[in-house]
Amino acid sequence: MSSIKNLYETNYLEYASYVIKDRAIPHIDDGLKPVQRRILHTLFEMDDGKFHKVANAVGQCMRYHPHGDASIGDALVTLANKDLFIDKQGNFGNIFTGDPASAVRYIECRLSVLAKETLFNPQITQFEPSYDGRNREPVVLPAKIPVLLALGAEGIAVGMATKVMPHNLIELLEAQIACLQGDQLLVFPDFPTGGFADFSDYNDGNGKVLVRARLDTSDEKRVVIRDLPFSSTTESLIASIEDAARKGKLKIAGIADYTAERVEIEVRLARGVHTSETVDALYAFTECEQSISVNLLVIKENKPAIVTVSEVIRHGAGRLVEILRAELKLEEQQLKDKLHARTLEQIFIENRIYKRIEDKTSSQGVVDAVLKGLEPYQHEIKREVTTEDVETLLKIPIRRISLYDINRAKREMQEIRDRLAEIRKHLGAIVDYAVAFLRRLIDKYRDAFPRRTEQVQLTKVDVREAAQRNLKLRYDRDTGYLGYEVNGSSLFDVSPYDRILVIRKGGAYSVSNVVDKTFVDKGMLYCGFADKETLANTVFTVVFRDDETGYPYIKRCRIEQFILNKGYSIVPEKCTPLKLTTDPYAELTVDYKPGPRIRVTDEKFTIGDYLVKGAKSGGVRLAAREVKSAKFASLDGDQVELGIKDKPEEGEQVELTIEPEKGGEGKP
Amino acid sequence: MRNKKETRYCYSERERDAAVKSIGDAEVTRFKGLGEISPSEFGQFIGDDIRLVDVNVKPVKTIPETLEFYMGKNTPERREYIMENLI
Repeated sequence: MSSIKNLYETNYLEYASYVIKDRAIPHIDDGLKPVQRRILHTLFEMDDGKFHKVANAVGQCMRYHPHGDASIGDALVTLANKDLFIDKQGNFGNIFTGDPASAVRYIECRLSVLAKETLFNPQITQFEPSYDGRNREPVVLPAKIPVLLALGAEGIAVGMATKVMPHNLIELLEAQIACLQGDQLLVFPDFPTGGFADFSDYNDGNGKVLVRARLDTSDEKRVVIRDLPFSSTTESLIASIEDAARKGKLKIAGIADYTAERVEIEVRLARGVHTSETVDALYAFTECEQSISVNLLVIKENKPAIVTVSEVIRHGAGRLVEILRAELKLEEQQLKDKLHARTLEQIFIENRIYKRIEDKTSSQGVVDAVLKGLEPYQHEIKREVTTEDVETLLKIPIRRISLYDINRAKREMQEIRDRLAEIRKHLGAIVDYAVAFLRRLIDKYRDAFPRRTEQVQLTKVDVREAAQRNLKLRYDRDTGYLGYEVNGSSLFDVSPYDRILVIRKGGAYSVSNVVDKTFVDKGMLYCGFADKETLANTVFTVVFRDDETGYPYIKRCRIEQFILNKGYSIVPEKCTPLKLTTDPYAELTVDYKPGPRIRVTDEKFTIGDYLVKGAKSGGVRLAAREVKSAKFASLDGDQVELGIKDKPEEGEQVELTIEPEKGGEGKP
Repeated sequence: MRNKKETRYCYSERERDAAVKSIGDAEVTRFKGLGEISPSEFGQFIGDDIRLVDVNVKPVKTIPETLEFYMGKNTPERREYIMENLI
């Protein structure tokens, strides 16, 4: 018996751990997700320099990756389209238009030279059994370049996700050199789609980037989009422009897409509209400008970890040194073995040791004879001679013995010794060796990887600023509806991006976006813009009645903090607002309920005498008498109980009178 | 996991490794869905040896709370929990 709670816990954690560590998040060492690593490993195994059908590679890859063939195919196409590690043959789709690749049976691929040069070395790779134990797959590839940052990555796991931008390979290598030399070089993303980008909030891989399309504005009457902003396709960009045009935020006459090898989208403008006025709107209302939030989550030491771009580069530089060292050591060992074999061979042939075996009858006798023959030369042989060494010597064909060229053998051995000395030198100055390695890569690939995205400082075009206030906000007093599609008296001009503060009859208030139609009830007390500046300059003065005692209270406050669409109340609980004004100089007259022995039934107050407090504060009691009604008058004596004006000036706030309460008043 | 004589169903990597050790020369395969089971084998798979887990849904009162924790909007808290308990 297992309780659902425990069951949930184990299954959830197993699943979460699997998705995080073994599916969606790339490894910091080689920057690859498991499927990508398995694809590259498969291609490496298949590699014969020729193109292979992608379908075949996918099938081979399934020996390591027990998942859908379609998902492996998609992953391969996506990886190939980064144009780093896979050479493509056939239609791999178009990253600009978003066209998909042809079916995997039609397209072909092979490892690129760069991949073969920098990603593999089976002899220093740690392998583990594949899922069914029939094959061995690499734990991580010995990548010598910062793959993660070059490719970029996007992955959604459980409870966490990763988003890494692609960077320019050459800049990454340069940053690695700087890192090896003890400097630090900041690297910023570079997108295959080009365009412009502002990286001031990049925050070393955990902030935001602002990307923009490249717009050609040389013509007054049309805008031509020449570069896409990263993460858009021509299709999605055009859809966003059409959508903005439909909503009236942009005035265009038509869009034509001429994209093939290069992006070219022509936006023809409507009559009377010019390029200069349209550009900001394109940035504000369409995908021409986008803000992308990035977060650099990787698997590091078998755990998910948020790291920075600089850390990844530093980690990569450290790993490069380790890998190069391991490779040099491996080569050193191999050369030493070779030299040993050659030395033995030379002694064996030059000193005719082979002659000693002629009269031996047992195989042990033969071995002993050779060992004995080699003994006098032990000082030349650096290590102990083993039986296997002797076996190797005995397998030398007679023809090679007769044709043995002493000088050539000596030359070759000298070459090996020279190389060994060189390796020792490199091992002694491994950092210099790593730097030289990176320099060679840079020289070789500089032209293949130019920077594509232009880095600029951009000020984000604010949607609210770019929007025209061309809608009339109306309020229908009889039905209690507010919005720009309501029949009723017009309050002021708004745009759909404006936020307004509405205070309802009962004192409830909220800030919300302007919409076409919303119910705010009859007897609305106040309606005005809710931008920071307006709110900072507006002091609300409200007179309210405590429903239990009937005493009048006054409260003065600003409304500066709010959560969009959340309901608040400007008066405390069980209180009813009587009047509200934003005139700081208004004079308040309170009428009291008539009663026995009461002669004065009204009293005047100067509202300036009362302090302005926070929106959550209570009120100040004006008198310990039951209030009948209240009204505000401005200093010059005019009544300021504003009704709705027919044509208020732009940006003006409007206060509305509340209907005098009829219930309760007539009763004695 | 199967060899010529025997087929064993393992429910975790640890069980699999133990089974491989005990019957030695065997082939390992993976069942992710019913598609990987042949019709004739199905009877055996759901036979007496099938591993069924009784699920106790009591107390019912805590279930909404549990579900809310694993699938609700408490992302930061859940993330913390996953990070701490990662297997």
